[in-house]
Amino acid sequence: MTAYRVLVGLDYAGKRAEPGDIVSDLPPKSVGWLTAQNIVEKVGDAPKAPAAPVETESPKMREQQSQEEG
Amino acid sequence: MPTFRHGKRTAVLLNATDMSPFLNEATQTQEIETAETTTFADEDKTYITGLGDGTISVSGMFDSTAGASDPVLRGTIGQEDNTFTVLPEGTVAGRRSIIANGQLTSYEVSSPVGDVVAISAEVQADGGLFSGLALSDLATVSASAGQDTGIDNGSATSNGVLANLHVTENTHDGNAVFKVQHSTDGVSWADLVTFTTVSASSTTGESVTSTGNVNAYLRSTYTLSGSAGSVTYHISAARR
Repeated sequence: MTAYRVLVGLDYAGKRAEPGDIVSDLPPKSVGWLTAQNIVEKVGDAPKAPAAPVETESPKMREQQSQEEG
Repeated sequence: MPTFRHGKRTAVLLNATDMSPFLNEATQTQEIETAETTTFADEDKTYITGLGDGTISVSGMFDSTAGASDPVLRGTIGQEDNTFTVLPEGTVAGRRSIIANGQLTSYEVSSPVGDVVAISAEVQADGGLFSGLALSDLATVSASAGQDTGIDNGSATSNGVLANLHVTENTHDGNAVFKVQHSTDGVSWADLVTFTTVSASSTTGESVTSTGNVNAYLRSTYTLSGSAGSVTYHISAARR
């Protein structure tokens, strides 16, 4: 079943979902307008930001290291 | 067939008070300014519409006991952000409501020698007087949560709503949360307006404005925490 993250408080099918909740039982009839109006978003749909490279040594550190070694 | 309403069912709510037992007349006036655009070539004057405005006038009987017409109206003079709702068809959900947030600009007490002591007052709408619908009856509730029947406007609108809440009696021992929700299909409902939480045994009136899209269906909901007592409330909303 498709999961959705709730962005705006929502009542559906006798249930209550608050912003941040993940739900997977939305009425099929409602999914279209709820997503179109940004009331819910499909989980995983949002493009992931590319992970920033982890820099363990800065150029300055490398320069200092080579000077010490030299 | 036309559907006429008798004035005897009219209700007037002001902040946390149902003023209806003290009043016998209510008049709402919606106005819009026009700016003249007549030019030399015209045979008739022409105009374009400008800014909207509105007032509510009420009159009735003087009563000086606590919570009655005189102390309530007198206490409202000089107070900002008052919530006014006039229900010309009664307090039934789905019927017309004229709502505003505004200031009381006059309060008059008249004492004729041969008649009852009377009052009259005028309210200046601050930000517009709007024609909307009652989303709830003037209802007394004690269940932990509930909602009123959704009302279908037939189509969505794009300029937000003004929503008025009146809590006129409250003996409940916990907080009360009131909301206006909207929906496209009448199946799932998203929060549109959340009023300030009403604390135990408190009464209040509040106007809240939303902006942007308003779906075709509107309804009101309540959630009560606590376990004993009841709350009497009314909610109206007008599409702007």
